[in-house]
Amino acid sequence: MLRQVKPKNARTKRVMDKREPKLLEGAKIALFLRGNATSQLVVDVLHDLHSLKKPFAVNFQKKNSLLPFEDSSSLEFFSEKNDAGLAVFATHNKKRPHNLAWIRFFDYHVLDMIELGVVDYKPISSFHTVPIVPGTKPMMLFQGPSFDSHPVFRHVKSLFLDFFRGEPIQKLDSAGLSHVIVVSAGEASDDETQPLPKVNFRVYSTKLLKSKTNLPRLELEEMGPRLDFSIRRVQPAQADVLKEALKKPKTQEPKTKKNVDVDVVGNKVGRIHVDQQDLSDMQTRKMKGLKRSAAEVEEEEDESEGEDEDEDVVSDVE
Amino acid sequence: MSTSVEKAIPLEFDLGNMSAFDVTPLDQTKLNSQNSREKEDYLASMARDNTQLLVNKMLALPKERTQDGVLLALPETTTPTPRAKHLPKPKPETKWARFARLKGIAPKKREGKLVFDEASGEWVPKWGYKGKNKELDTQWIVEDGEREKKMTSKQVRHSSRDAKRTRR
Repeated sequence: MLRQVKPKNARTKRVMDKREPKLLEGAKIALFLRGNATSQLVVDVLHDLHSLKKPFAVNFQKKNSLLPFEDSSSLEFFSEKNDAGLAVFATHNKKRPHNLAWIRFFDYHVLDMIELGVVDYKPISSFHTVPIVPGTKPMMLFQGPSFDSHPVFRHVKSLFLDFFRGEPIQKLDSAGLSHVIVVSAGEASDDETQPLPKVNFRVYSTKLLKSKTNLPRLELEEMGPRLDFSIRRVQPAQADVLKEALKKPKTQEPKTKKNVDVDVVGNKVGRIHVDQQDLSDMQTRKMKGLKRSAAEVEEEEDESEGEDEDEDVVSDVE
Repeated sequence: MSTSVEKAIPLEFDLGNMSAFDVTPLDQTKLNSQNSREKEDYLASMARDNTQLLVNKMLALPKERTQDGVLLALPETTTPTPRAKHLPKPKPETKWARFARLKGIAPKKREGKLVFDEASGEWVPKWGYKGKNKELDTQWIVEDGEREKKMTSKQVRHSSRDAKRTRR
């Protein structure tokens, strides 16, 4: 943890207030980092992803000797300094060529990590389409049954959705449906020894054309980057930390009062639930004449005894 | 140019995130084909169909027409995603805030400078340049006793001839 800064002027106080946890969060800031050894390909991929993530992205140029899967303290320092919720760490070595480690943070501690290797890449510059305005919210599409069934692919889906979705907005301009990010994957076989299918990452810009119906006809044009990922190491989130991270703020719904209803006529009707009364202890009007005398009590006892005898006889017969 | 798409398994939507989820299995032979053209065409066609459905759903949302264009009201997001920071702890109410709440004191709303003038039917400034407080000074005809009507009792007491004489 970094040292706690006490604001000495209004400007620093404003900066600190901006970093305070809020009920409704905006877009997560992503850090783009390089490892000790990188390839040109993976650096270009980083550059393209940065352009997709603008303006909620910070691109670092220097090399960092980090090993995310061994020691995450350095990454957590980066996250705290830059107020980032996401990070992409690019490395290249013989064992893991063109490697991207996607890290998510919760309270400046690593939540979960996944390593994706770039198998195929076509940069944005090779597609001759109009670039998107930075900050536009993209449409997202996940194709394939594994995004629902397989835990690793569910992680990938959650990660990409979190990474690229941008700021939460209430009202969208209908012209804002400008581009769509399509993530597809084949079906994962049940056999665990088999390698997991590749994740195909495509970005298309949309064109809405007139049609006979009210709705426009959609045409897609690939704008890049075109990426095919192979899944390498995965470090899923710890259950209790994930539970804390998924907590939703208590919405102020109007509390409907229980046991209070409004009639058909319009009367307000209430229900009162009362425990069962012990009627033997009830205080009633006493009528002396109806009191049972000692003689009557004896009579009843005799009768009940006789009944018992009869019952015994019946059981013998059976 | 059709805008409708036939789907065996309907898509799941999260319109708050502008996203759609398709569970139909993809053609493995086309996905793994060495011919990149075939693979890309297949992916693009699947994407076009699914995005058409998504756009159809998005444009069916309640619309608001404004000067800038047509705005769509996005609903709440349905896919749970982890937060970046923990939920803020509710701060304890300050002494004043508690007092104000119990007494029913609402924060004072700023009135602004303009005031509606019944006579002219316009919004005139209350004070300052062409302020309504100076209208008696500039009026060419003033009824006797008009000035006293507009003054507060304290002002009247201080402005009367006797009061002025005693102060002198």
